[in-house]
Amino acid sequence: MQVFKNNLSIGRFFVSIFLIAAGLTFLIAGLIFVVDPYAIWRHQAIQRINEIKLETTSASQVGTAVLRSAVHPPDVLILGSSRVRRGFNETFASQLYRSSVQVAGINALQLSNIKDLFSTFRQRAQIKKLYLEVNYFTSNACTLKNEALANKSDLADPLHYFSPQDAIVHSLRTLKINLFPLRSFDNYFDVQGRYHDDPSEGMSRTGGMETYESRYNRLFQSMTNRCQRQASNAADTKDLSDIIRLAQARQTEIILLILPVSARWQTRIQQGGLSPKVTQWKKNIILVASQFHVPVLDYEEHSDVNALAENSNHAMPMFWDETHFSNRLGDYILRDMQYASHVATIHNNRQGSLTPQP
Amino acid sequence: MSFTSYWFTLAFLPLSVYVFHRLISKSQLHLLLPLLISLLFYYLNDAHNLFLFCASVGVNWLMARAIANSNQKKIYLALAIAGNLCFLAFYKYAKVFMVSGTAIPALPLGISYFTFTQIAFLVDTARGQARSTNPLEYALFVAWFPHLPAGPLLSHKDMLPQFMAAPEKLSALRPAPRDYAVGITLFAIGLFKKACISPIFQNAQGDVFLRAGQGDPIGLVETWIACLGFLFETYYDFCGYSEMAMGISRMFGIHLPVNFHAPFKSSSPVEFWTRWHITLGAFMRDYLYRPLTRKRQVWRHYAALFIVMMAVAIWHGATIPLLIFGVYQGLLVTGNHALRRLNIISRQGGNLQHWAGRVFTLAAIAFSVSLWATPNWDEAWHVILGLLGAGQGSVWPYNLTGIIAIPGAIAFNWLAPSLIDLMSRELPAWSVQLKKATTSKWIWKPNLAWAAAVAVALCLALINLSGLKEFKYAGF
Repeated sequence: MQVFKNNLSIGRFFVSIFLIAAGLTFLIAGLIFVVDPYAIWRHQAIQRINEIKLETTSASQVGTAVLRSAVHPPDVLILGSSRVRRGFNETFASQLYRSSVQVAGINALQLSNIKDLFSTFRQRAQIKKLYLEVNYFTSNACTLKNEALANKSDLADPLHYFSPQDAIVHSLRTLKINLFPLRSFDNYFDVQGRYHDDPSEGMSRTGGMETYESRYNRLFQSMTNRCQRQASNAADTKDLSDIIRLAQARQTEIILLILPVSARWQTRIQQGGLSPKVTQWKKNIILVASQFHVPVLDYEEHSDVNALAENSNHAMPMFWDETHFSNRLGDYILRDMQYASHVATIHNNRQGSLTPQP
Repeated sequence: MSFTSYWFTLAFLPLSVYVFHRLISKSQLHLLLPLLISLLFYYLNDAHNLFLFCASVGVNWLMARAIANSNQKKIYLALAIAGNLCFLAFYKYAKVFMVSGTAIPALPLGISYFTFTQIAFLVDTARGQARSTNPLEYALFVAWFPHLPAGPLLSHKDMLPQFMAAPEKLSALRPAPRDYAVGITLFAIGLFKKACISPIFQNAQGDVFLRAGQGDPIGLVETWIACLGFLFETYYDFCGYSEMAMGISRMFGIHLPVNFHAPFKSSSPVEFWTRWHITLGAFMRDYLYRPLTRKRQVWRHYAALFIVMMAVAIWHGATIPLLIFGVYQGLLVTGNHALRRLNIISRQGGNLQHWAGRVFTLAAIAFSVSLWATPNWDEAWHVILGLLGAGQGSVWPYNLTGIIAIPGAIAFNWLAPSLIDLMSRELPAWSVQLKKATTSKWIWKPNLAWAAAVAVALCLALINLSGLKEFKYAGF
């Protein structure tokens, strides 16, 4: 201990600071490199290190998506909110499409942010097909926003892509979840890339502080409070037109997705008096898409896929919660998306049954 | 470019220290170089208001000259103070008076701090207590960048003598190697407090204030934890900033005053306000309290204390809870003085009085958070009900972070020596008025233990920098 207390010359004091800081930095960088918590640079997972992946936190979702597209340029990009991330299995999609598919789900990804984000993707990858989730709650009619995307300069500045704190915490949590047995309320992506969540209606994660019902009442209230504007917002038309033009200018086939929500959430929308606005908004989106001959795949009211998924012999629930569908439904949607984009018809004209591919 | 940005920490600060170190030996750059660095900092942070800032400095220097050379000092002084206060009030309280829909002008960087600093200089010039300065000295004194974002308030009596070179030296500002070591220690620990400790107490508050705002039930213990959490969050945020400012300044060979000196060790509200935001307290004492108490009458003394606490409250913002906060703090401080005057409590006191005083002071200040941290009276009242156990929530909280963090913070702040105590031998006597000399074995020395502490603090702070909130007092 005496060595710690002995006076050093000022020069040695600074050298000691530098060496200790450099040692710590290498240690931390090594941990992040080995664990690769966002699955950016490792093709093969390491057993008991990073086989099981955790959901990327909100602060790092944009950075993860952009860097993954740079390291492994995708042919097909499925871009949307957390519903895309939790509902679609990237490994399964890649097998289905027989090409590189990237599922980029960013919490509360607003239509107004997508243009910048897609431009950033396009600088790094030649995307052949873009599936874009559109949603009333992330449209310009609502002011719901992703804080990480609030400042658009974030996309241009690599320094803002990642939070080092988040990377370390995520690495340690990934290590922990791989080394120790999973708990019932852990949410994670398994070895096959399937998302798993707590099916016990979120009780354990909220610590019993409030019931599932009151939590969703509050969530719905806070979301609807931000949706006071006109549904047929001119800003939506402009944003969507810009995105479509940008994609078409670079020969990227674009398909719009309207993803399913649970019956309970639909009831909330009706009870909250939002149904006319949502319907009007959807009509507006379809109208804009049809002007550019862009297909819109609407799974919100698409009972065929729901029925197929419901009748499947699958252990997963259909929905993890009121807004997030599971891979059980997601797999059927992916199959349908592949089929529908082959026939490439516009939603309103799409006819016939949907046969899932084996 | 905040102090907590990577650009500042890894680029602006090291580069400016290096350039300063290399060029300071040139006599013509003696004061100009730090002034240019300060103006560059201002430009990078608030380019729109740089001209306004320079105009304020220039006009105040001219007013100080006019006051010093005129026979009608009082008229010029009144004009200058009124002008400065109107300028400050226009920006700080514009939103209160403006019609909704009107664009509110952005607050210039450090407006409160450079305005108060200049008012003090003008008053002392009129009193004949300020030395005459050349424009360069004055501009550097006001514009010195570490104090601009959130203080401390500078006094010309402390700062201007530092800019005067000894006859045999080319420059007064020649940091010694030890200054760099002390500077980096203060900076690293300050940054660590802001980046790593303050967020713990932000998390400890949970959503109590949010629920109080919505009128939802809040429990007794969780409300106390939230209020104490807010207090500790503010302390580590502001104290961290102040120590960073001291550290940065020290690397340029300039000493800044201590702004926080272990406030939670206070055993009375009066002592608390001599340890918390010390430079604001000193400013209020010298330029508001003392002028009001020239005639030694007890009622004047109490009235002046009330006015000082109200002024502090209004400086924080023009809301009803903050006005009540001023009255509450005024009652605490005058009550404390009255009890001393009536010999119900003594200044020295025994151990029991000392510890009872610490508990009471912490509880009383934490209680006032209900008024300080809330934007409107409804929310404040709901938090007060929560603190009194009438918030209709369950007594015990579910969030364990606060239950562990708050008692830990109280014990640490009561029992462990503060950074200022540990570094007091390295600070000039005027910058810190210690109650008694520290004899801790961990007192600062350039040894391996402190090098490790600095390195670990820097690494952990840098890891936590991204996404960090701006300093709480940066918008004042």
